[in-house]
Amino acid sequence: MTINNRVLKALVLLTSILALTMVLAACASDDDPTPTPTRAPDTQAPAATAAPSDGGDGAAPAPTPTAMMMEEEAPYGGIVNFSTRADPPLGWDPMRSGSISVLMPAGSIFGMGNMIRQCPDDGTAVCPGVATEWSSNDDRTSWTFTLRDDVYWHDGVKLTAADVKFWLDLAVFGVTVGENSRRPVSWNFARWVESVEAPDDLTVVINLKSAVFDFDQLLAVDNQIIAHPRHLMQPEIDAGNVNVSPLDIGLVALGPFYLEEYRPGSVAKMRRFDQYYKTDEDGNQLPYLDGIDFYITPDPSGMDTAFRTGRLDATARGSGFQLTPEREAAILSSFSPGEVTILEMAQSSFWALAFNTLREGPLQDVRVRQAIHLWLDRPELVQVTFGGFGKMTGMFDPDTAWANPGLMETAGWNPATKDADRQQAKALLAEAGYPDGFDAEFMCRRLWGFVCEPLVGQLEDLGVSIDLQLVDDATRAARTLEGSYDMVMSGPTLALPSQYGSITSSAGTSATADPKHNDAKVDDFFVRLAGAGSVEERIEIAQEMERYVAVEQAYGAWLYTENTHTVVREYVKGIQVPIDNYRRNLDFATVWLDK
Amino acid sequence: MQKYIARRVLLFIPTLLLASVLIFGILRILPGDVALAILGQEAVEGGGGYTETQIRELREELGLNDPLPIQYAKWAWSMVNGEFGGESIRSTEPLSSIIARRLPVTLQLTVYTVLLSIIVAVPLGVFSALYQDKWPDYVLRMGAILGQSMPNFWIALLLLLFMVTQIGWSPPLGYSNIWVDPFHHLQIMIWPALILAWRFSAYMTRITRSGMLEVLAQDYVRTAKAKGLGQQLVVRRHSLPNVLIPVITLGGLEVSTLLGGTVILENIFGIPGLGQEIVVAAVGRDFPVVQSLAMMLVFFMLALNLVVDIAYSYVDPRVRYS
Repeated sequence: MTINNRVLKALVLLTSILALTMVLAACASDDDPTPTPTRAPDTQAPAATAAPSDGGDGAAPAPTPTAMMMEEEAPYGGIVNFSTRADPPLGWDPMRSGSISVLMPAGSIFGMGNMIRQCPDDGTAVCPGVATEWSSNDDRTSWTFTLRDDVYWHDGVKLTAADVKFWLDLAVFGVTVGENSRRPVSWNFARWVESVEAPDDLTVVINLKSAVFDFDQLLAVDNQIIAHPRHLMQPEIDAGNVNVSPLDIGLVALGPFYLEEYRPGSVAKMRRFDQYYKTDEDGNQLPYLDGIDFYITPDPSGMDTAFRTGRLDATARGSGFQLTPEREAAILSSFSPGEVTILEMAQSSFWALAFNTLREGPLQDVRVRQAIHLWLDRPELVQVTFGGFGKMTGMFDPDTAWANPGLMETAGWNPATKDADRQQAKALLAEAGYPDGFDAEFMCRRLWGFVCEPLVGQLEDLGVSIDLQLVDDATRAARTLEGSYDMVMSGPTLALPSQYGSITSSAGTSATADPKHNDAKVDDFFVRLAGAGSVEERIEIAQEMERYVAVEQAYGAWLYTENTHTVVREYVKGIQVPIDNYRRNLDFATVWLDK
Repeated sequence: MQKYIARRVLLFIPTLLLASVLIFGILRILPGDVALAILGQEAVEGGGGYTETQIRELREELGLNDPLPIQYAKWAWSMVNGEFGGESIRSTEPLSSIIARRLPVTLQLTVYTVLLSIIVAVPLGVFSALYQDKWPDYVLRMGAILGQSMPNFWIALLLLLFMVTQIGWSPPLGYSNIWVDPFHHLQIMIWPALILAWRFSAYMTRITRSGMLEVLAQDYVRTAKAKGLGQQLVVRRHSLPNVLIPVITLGGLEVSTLLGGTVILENIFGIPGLGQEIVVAAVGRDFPVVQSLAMMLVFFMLALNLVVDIAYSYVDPRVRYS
């Protein structure tokens, strides 16, 4: 055999490898998406009736989801191309993950909220969902919901109260079959629920362990979604598959779109569900679009490029994918004025530098904590950290009734008095016995390094020598339980005092809270909030809590909230922009195309 | 030869076992608790809290309360019984399904890269050697050095930026199988393949060039020239086949580094291969996915080494294993 022949054989071998690869590719054909596409039957369910918009004479104000958003007649048809940053984790189960990676593509399949939901144009108000009316008994320990009679799952099966009870039981209590257990959710409303009843097909009664004045607000949070059809999941659970996920049963849900095709790592295609129960204010069936294609774009640069060349109609929401000032400028440079629209939404979290007062050291002295509160220059931090895409906050959004009026003009926040505040901060440190500063361990979630580093710079200017420790989520959670840090970057404080379960976790004496203290008075605020008899009383308590926690005791230095910027093509109309939380209004039922 | 192959195949077993213990152990000594990672992320991203009871229940659910040897044994058994390590914590999808779906995509990208590299690198290497120390040689060597020194992800970003700003075009979204939509498939795959091929062919060009220079100085080549054979014939018949032996051998070994290159490029170009999965799993502390895919890479490395060794003796009869 000559050497030439051997080379020829080597080339034949390479060609064979190529052919084998192609055969493998054929075996893994994307003609077989996961899961099997679900199609809404055309005959089993009657068409949705032209009920009043979101129907009923419920306790909440009637929503007008489309009227404010659209000035022109909304035409039907068209498919939009949206981006989402990753495959939805944990079987697309909103009981397991509230991540935007689930909600961005799945909101259109599940719909937002559950029996009730946060109103599209006002997250502090409650609107009907699949329930038209709701009320409580006098002592607020039992809540009764009346369901619509025209709600269908994507496979045509009618929704009943028994389905809602199944979903609530699964969420609140979990389930155990043999040795297999499914853990309950960590949603805020769940901790209050004692039992759920379904006395007839259209009535759900939720009995609480104790009175909760605003249980409807707790229940209405948009990412607490019914995505668990009893008729499909119960048999799985009975067979021992207690952790059955929405993806396992084909994502059959109640939202305006059903899943036509899902190719992991690539695309999820949703198409119009003709029996969706909602209509616009003129009685027109929603949704308007024929469908939405969610392209999975794991790299922001690739996403930006695809938007600029017209392969995407909007960019994704979520950490790392929301636009930075530089990326936004680059995108805008590709378009003429009016060709694209920037959507600005608040984050759900308010950032704070939380202090550990249980650890021996300077931060046990309230004067030291107040000195840091006074020293930090929030507007500069917003500029440096987010390129100006944010605003100062206390524990609550200063533009809502819950915050103390004028708090942003007080010492610590007010830029006009910063020089005087900083002199005061130096004086407080000296008074506390640390005129030359002190050393401190600053724990920071690794993903938030860009947030923590500017803070380090300002703290060192005060004389605090910072040991910045960037850690992953597991380490952060473990050390939070241990309390092994002096200060920590805290993110999960929420905008609404109604979600006091989360605030308790992030500000109270809970072991999982970021600020560490043993102040029972803080926990008492949450008890009082839960039992308050009127909104006015709740606002009063919230403001008192903010003054005590953020100013008087300064258990943390509350800083700012980041604004999410996404960009959308001008011809995409009807997006209901949630100003208060970018995780809301993701059902896209009112979106339409003007082209 | 057969004994040699049998011995090498048998050596697979202890090598794989050692690698599996190392991979399993390294993931376990990383700081932090996977259950806390999941709940902590849920709390941060989903706006909920968590209790110590939930931590305990999740640890139980994930099997983290078992002693480490038991955890290892369960994982090792699942690697050989067809489950390939169980299921992803993040997506709850069986690993066998993940691998079956993603591995062919990465293999395709690798094969495209190798083919492109061979087509480009060998002629350029020969050309460079024939024009040693003249301007074509300098240009090609500079191109090869650039290809080896510039990070793939940086070239990818520059390429995307160039396409957007200069021609207003970008690769399509949503991966398609080559049998379903070949044009769509190639529009997506060609760019990362070209970028990877630049680096890979740079390496092979340099090997070809140096090999060709060495062969051209051999007595038998001088003899061939003295006999009056033309340069083309001397190169094609007497020089190139000998140069290709180290090119194929070293090129085969270098294929393993391509897998590292695909990790980032699959993310940038939205290609649903193993690289994309590894990045997502590593960020999300999805340890079953990370450890099982790492084991698969170890397996491929070992297999590739074996194939190259065997091919070497096959292509060059002077080499014999006993």
